[in-house]
Amino acid sequence: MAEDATIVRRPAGARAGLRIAVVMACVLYVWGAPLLRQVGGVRHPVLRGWQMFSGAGLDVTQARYVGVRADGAVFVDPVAAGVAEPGRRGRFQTYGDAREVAEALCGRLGPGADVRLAFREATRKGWRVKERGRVNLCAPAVSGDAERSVVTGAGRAP
Amino acid sequence: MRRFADWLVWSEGSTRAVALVRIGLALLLWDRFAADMLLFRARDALEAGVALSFFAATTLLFLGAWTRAAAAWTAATMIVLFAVIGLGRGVEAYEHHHVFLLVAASVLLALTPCGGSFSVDRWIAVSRASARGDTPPPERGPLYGQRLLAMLISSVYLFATYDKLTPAFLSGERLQHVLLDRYGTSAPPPVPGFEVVCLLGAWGTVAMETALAVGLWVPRIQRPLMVAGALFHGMLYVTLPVGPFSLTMVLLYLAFLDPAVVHRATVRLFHGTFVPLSSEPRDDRSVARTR
Repeated sequence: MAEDATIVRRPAGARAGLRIAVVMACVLYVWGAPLLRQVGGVRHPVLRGWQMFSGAGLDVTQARYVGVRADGAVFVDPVAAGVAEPGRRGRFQTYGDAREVAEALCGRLGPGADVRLAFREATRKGWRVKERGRVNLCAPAVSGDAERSVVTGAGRAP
Repeated sequence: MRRFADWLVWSEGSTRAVALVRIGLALLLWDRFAADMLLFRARDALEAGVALSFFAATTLLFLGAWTRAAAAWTAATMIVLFAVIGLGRGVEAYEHHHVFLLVAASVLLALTPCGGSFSVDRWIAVSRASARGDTPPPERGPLYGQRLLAMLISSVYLFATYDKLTPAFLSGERLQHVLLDRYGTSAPPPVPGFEVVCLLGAWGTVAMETALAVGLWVPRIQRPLMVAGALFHGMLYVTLPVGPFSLTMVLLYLAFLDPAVVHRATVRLFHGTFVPLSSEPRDDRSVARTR
């Protein structure tokens, strides 16, 4: 018989029973642990699932600033305008940071400026839109809170 | 049912495929853990003990010396690393699924005859047979461990796919987050069509992982899928911090291959031509060819 041929050999006795038990236990764990955890929702440290990237990118935010002038809207880069020093890798950490930058932009552009912010942040359910850019954040009477909205999934702004 | 049991539990074949997995897995364990295991990093006697155990066990595993014991020792060390230091002491890096894949692969490798080929054990066995004037013992052993390694990979792909069947992932938004996390800023991405690319990438990932979970078991499409899977993992490896996870997945593709095919390929590779070595199995009660 060629050495590389695959054959079937059934040992007898306790060794066979032990092998069956080991194989069955491994099969049950390999398929059963992620099934219980991910489908059944059972949380136990020993039951491991295969959930790749489930926690990755959850601190990502996106902010777009638009300055509205008499001749139309233009995007404003707050870093280039010298009012923002972005955090890690050019990222605003929170919505509050982005609002502060908008207020600084208002101050830089002077009286009568119109600056709008569209802001969204990453969640496990998709983008959550915090600000849609419909409110002039430089207008003293408007807080922007009325316009702020929360949308889960399929967020389109900015 | 009997055929399935024969295939899963009672098959025996060439040990060369699992021997290659053994060598590759030892290298991947070093890649992931060796820097962490340097003795000056140990915070107490337990961690120093685990570090020493890690280096001793994996070195023997790599060489294939006292391989059965070395594989069990490596598996036990990995379990302690994961359960005691990771879960018990809350070292998050050792609880991660990247680490758990290495733990699971180490445990299942200990159920294989991975020292039967390309090992010090094999060298000694051949030398002893030669000294006695006998033919070398066959490079053959039980395949159930190899089958279980293949099942592990299928399970990873299948449940990874299941996890992605959400509106957030299928809309491409979660992929946007992952990419922006590593390459983006808070400014809108400068890449035109970024959202469309992420949408296609999300669906492509789900399709690829589903195909790999099922298709690697189908011999006719196995090899093109392995090439596609290797490219897929290669792309992830160079773009995202997946560490040795991608390489472990690709290494374990060997477990899906017919051991006879791997045996012939390595004979061809190392000897130039395929020369089957004749050797009948000894003291078997029931022997039947399945291939």
